[in-house]
Amino acid sequence: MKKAEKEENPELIVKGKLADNERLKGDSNFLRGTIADDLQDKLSGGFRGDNFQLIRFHGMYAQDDRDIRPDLVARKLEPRKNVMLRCRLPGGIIKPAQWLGIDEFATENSDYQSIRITNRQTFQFHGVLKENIKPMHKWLNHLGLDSIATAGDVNRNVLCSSNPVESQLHREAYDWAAKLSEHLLPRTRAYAEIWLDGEKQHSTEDDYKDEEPILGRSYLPRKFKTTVIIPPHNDVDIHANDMNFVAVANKTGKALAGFNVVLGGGLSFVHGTRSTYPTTAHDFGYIPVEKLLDCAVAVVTLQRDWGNRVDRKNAKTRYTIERVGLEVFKAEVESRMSHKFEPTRPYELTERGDRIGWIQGEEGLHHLTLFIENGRLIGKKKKGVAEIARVHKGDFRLTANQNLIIAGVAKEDKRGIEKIARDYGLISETTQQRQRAMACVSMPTCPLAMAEAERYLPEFIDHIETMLEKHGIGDNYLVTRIAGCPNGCGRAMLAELGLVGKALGRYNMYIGGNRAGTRVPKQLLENATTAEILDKTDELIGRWSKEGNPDEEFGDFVIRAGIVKEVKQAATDFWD
Amino acid sequence: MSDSPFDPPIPSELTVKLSTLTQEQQAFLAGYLWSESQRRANAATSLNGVSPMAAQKRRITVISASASGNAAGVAKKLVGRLEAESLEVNLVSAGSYKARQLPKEDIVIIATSTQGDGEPPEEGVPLHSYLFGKRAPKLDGLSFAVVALGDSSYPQFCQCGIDFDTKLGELGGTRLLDRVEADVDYQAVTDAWIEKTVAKLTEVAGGNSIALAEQAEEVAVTSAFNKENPFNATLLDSIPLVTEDTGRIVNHVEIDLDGSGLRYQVGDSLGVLTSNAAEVVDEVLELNGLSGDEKIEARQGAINIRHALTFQTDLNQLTPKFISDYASTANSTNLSALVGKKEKLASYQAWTPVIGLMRDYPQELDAQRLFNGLKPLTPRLYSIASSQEEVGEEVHLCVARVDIEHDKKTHSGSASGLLCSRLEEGDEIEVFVEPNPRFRLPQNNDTPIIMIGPGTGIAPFRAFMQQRRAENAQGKNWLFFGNRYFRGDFLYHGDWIEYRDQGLLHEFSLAWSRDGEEKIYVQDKIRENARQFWEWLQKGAHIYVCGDASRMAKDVEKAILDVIKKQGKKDEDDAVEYLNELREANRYQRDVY
Repeated sequence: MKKAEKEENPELIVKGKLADNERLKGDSNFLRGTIADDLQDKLSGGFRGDNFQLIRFHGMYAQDDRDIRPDLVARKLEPRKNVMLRCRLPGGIIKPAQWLGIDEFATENSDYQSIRITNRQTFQFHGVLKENIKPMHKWLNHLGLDSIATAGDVNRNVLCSSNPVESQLHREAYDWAAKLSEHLLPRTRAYAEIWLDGEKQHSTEDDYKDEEPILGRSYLPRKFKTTVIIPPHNDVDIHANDMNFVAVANKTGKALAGFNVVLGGGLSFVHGTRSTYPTTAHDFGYIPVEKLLDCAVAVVTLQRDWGNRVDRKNAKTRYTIERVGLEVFKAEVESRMSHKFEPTRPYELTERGDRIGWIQGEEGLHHLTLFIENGRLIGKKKKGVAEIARVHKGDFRLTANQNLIIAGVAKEDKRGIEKIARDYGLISETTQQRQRAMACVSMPTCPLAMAEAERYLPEFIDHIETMLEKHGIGDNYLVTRIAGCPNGCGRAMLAELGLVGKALGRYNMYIGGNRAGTRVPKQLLENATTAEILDKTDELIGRWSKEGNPDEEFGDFVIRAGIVKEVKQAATDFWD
Repeated sequence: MSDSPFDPPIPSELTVKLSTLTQEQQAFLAGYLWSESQRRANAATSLNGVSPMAAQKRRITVISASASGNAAGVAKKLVGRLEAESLEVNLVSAGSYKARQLPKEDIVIIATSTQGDGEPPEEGVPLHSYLFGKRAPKLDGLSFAVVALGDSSYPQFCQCGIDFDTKLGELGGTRLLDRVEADVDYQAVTDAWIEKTVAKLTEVAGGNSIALAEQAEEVAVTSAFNKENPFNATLLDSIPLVTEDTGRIVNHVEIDLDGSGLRYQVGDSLGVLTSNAAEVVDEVLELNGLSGDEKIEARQGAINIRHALTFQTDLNQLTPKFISDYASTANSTNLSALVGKKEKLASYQAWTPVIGLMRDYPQELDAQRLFNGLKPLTPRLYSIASSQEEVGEEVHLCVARVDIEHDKKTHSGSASGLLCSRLEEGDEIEVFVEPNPRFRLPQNNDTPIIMIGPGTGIAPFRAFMQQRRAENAQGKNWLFFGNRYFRGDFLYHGDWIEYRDQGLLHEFSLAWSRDGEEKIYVQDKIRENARQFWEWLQKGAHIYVCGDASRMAKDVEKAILDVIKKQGKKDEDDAVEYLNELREANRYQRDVY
């Protein structure tokens, strides 16, 4: 069936010399490579050759401390090589006992001794030395956690709106997120084999037990991101994701009827490469709840088969849709899931931020959302969360805004938990401006980082807060995000004001996104110093305070005022 | 130019011509003339070889066992003098001397230095262990004399010379002359000994003999610069190699030899002329109530004490002699008590710099007494860490700064302090090449090598790798390295990763003494890899050991013997014999200090 279509439409598959990553995946014997040998290699603290990339499929990135790299290299030493580990935590839910376990590991066995909550609702360890990697995986396994496929060309950690208020609906949505995560995982036994001393497979014959019915032997052409979202709250930033399932409740409002399927978002681009651009996702239509897994498999396998394996820069789902056309893509998804999309049910996305502080859910339990700047828990604050974990009877939810929810607190436990949170500085007065801001990790650990992000954000927000005060709009905010490179992790391409690193101390400045996260911003300054950026920001906030309409968002204002053009069709508008 | 062979002096036409040449041309010319003179000397020797023999011809063999080249220099000088007296003399380095020849010898003169804690220098080990082993020969027919070089700051002063002298006597040899022991400033003592020896040998072995000087193994000298006439080189760089948290200073030092014509081979050492830091000299002067302008009598005549303290005295290393002399007038019961207790004195001496003693027990010495008591400052030798195939006119060293903590102050070694801390890029430093023919890569590039060099002992192996890379040598390379920590303390870690990734480094065994609960050393790694080690030996591997002589080299040797015993199924004696055979075959070479 599909075969015939492909022959009729040869452009569905990009021809040419495959990207080297395709060889790497194909040769990897289901993601094993020679990782096990590298673990035994005592000459280097790092991973060699293909293994450098292959460990990503196991949830780790090979990194080094870039702050000290020049000094070490000058001393003819090896950079301080380590890995960053990203846990798999669908929907961001983690139990207090598990939290205590990860807290212990981070404190004792990672260079930065921190737990970094990420905007993909999971946590990262930074700076784990090679000798600690295997013990780390065993420890996670012991805690009931793993890091399979949280990076690499696979379906990564599945997001789910952090909505503890509508408990029933959220529970259902969360269950689907967890099911999606499990269903789309690689089937290879490499992870258990390498990290957990799982049964080692010996002969090549055994390799055939490794099958990848969904992902395929060469896995996906590129990373793939999935969310389950309960509108109108867009905390998961659906336009940053390949595949989104927007929950539609039944008439009672308490249970799921189905999902609107929204495909083809993504934010990464390459500086100066016009064939790359951030894109918002497209509405494909509605499916009933029971078709969710079929639909997901249809989309993933379609992207597997049609995605661009020649040029990695154009390999994501959004480029596939762009290339073959939305209707062709849609028809193929329908064919693969043996079901037709129904028209999209109306839904609205209004905002993205978390509601910091206590809220009460529909089942009477209380939830405390703690604002964690940059998601970085370290020192006193990390200790505070561990103290809470020791007494907390509910669970923790890591949000897509890098915050932490102490969820499911009984009324009588509220005071105790709040006291700990206050004692450890986890509750403090912060502005909307700061709460809505976000940055990726960047320096000193991320090898892609071109400029500071996480370490610059607090200072940058200080300046913006001062400007807002100065212009008499101190309680207003603009969604501000900084990314160290254009790869997209900081989701700066869905900010009202986004900075994307070019070089240390220099950024491209983008404005004109909106609060709901449904519009890509447009470049205003290129390769600007922070001083130039601050000057420009001050000027724009000044104009916004005077010329803006009541309740007009910063991003809407700058477009209305003609300061930048609105990005409607990213493929053309983003660069021109 | 007191040693000048020109009498009357060099004709002025020649010196005028020479002065028009560049430094490099002069250097080349010097080498050319030297080799020309050798050629002529050889021709003369072969002619003499067929000349009628003297009636009372006795064969003299001069054996030098040298670590830094001093003993070899003494032996060479002696041979020159003996040749001048037309005696038949054979000069041989202990390293290339077959110990079992000894019973067949007639007259043997040994010039030896002593290493570390009373041990023979590397090349003297086979001879030493032969004489002290079970298979020691009877030497009734042998006449001998020994000159012993040493360093009185070590407790077992001249022990190796004492060993040879005593043992040769015990084994039945006839002592021609009493043993002479010379300290670091040996020249005067050895010169006197040479004259006495020449007189004695002329008497017992005289007659119309021929001289047969052994050709130097390597004719590599092409430069006008040497130990007596060091080259004023430029420091290119001195960069730290270990991270600060290791608490140590180890530097990679790059020196520019451009214009010197100096050539070195991998395995050679670089001699560095050193001096004391101005603030240390100032403090010594102050502690002794001296202005610095006081004149003293030194070998080259009257000089001021500041100059003498800066360039001619060792202000780091005390000697027992200096301490006891100092104690005699210090008026301190504590110090006198210390001098009386050998072990305490040794430990005090080891951990106290000169100014430490003076601060601890203040008194004012007059300038001459101060100068006379102190140990002469001698050039320091560093194993070269580069190959000219890769670095051209540069020479690289790996220098650990030797720091002594005394009175909560750090006192750095004069040369290591100079190279690691005091010199700035572009500063000048006097150097010479000290050949080390006993530490050479195998002739055959296909021969595997095992390199054992913990700490700064890794230096020559970096040179080996550069050389083997340049020559595209196919022989396998195995490194044993150890230090305290894997991270931050792995000397040239980046280079070694590169060698491995380029397929040049085939095996590596690393020992980190502070990384785990157990302290692991290179010798543990040798035992751990016994089978493979033995296999490499069966494939003809050469073993190289570089670094600390007092402990590491011994522990490593024990481990190698264990490997030979276990894997080769040999008893202790056979294992020792096996190792000595390796040594004699140049397959076990050490550069230890």
